[in-house]
Amino acid sequence: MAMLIKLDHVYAGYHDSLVLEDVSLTVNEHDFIGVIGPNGGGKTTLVKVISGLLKPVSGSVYLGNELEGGKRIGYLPQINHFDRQFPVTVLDVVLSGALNRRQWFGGFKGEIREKAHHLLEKTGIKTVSSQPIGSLSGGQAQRAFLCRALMTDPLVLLLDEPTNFVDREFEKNLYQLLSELNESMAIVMVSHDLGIISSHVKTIACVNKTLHYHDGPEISTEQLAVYNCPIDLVAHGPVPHRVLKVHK
Amino acid sequence: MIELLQYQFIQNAIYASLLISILCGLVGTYVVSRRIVFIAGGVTHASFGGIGIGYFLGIHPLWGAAVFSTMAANVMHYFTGSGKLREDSAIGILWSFGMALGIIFIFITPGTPPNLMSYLFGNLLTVSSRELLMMLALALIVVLFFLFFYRLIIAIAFDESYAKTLRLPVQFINYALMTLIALVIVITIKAAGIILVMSYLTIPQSTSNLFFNDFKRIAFGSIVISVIGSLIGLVISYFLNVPTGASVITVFVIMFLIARIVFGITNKRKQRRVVV
Ligand SMILES: Nc1ncnc2c1ncn2[C@@H]1O[C@H](COP(=O)(O)OP(=O)(O)OP(=O)(O)O)[C@@H](O)[C@H]1O
Ligand SMILES: [Mg+2]
Repeated sequence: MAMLIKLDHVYAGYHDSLVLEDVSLTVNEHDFIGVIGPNGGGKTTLVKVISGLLKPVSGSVYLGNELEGGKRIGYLPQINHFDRQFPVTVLDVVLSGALNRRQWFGGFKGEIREKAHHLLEKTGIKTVSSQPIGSLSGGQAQRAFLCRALMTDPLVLLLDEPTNFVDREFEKNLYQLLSELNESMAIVMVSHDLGIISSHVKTIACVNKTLHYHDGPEISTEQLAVYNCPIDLVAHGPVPHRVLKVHK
Repeated sequence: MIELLQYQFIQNAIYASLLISILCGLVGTYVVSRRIVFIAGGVTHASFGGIGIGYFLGIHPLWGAAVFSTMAANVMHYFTGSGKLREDSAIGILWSFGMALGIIFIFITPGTPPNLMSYLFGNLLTVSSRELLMMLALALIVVLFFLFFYRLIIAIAFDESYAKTLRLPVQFINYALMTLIALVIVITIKAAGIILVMSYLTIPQSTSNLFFNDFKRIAFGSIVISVIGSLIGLVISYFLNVPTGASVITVFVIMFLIARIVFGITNKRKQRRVVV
């Protein structure tokens, strides 16, 4: 399996404070890594380092050649706080995901527009595609941002709490979609929902300043304790059968 | 009224109105969309420092203002991103420092002091052919910049950090736009003066925004509104013998209010139709 991204003894943080210490992680082709950890543990920071948004203080991030210098990393940010008054349509937001250093000017080619429409259709927001982005609900906007992330045909898809705003119905579709996507791209997904994590991901990374990697979708309470990884388990709806016990 | 058009200064005023409407229509839509009206205000006032320095050095004051406000705009933008100084504080400091420098240099320049009123309130009727040429050159640059980089500008303005993950030239576009904003402001000072520039950058845009939700359309609409408002304002200023800047801006506000009322009525009709 080809290596796509490799973090090697990475230290990262903001201003003077270190959030991540000595983090090493490899993302290979076809991986589906669930990232868990307490609030403020550094999950979002980890995703930012992988995406290239945040430069590590020390340590290195290697990108496989196929990633074309990071262009083929798709990123769905955690907080979908955006300027609801900004005058841009949903379709244009999705299309903006296809911009890259070589392709800025003029209109988008037909195939790119087709891809955008296809994605909008698949995520169920095609009907609102010509509306301003500000008129969408939180969940619809989240889907639009997912479409934007998929426009580059990413080889690595980074999802920071993708189910934050979406409803139960779309959540099911989302996981269905993700497992389809997983055939052609590696996925790194941050989530607080351990039940979901253990029934969809292949491996787990637990982030709490440092990172512990679990080579499988299940973690026992004892392991969490050893790794000093306190998780708030949020179980809503019908409880999945692989829910793990809350640990103190 | 037709014979008025024979006068060179009237012709210049009309051309200047057109060019300034195009410049402010585009740049103002960006300023309003990106919510950097306050930065634009700071740049406007800081440019007074450049005007003073221009006088002192004996060059065209607008050249002095162009250099000075370009620097001020980019310094402000730098602080916006860096988190080293609160953005609004940086704006406040440059705003007043520019005004202070301007007054100092005008005072220490020997000879008769310039007509400060014309820089504070502007005058479309005194636009020289040389200034018109400066406006034309800038309009070409701004229009080409927006045509060429449109997609990039929108993507970066809407979501800067996502644009960074796409490895787009975010800083280049940001600094280029700050520079263009500064230059447009300086050229507009000629028409509207330091105190009234902001209205060219915000009122037609707000009017247009009542009807449109898409950057391109808002920009295009503001250009049209701005041209109409400027020409009506120009005629009024000629016949009532009041300063052009002030009369244009009054027309802008009246147009905005009318649009607001019209928009309110059509909106209510639509709502009623939905209810029925
Ligand atoms: N832009 C920033 N500037 C300064 N400090 C930050 C910034 N973003 C995050 N931090 C700090 O870094 C730490 C880790 O934050 P991070 O967002 O990575 O946590 P997280 O694991 O994603 O938490 P959550 O579960 O709440 O999303 C926090 O203590 C936070 O205060
Ligand atoms: Mg987070």
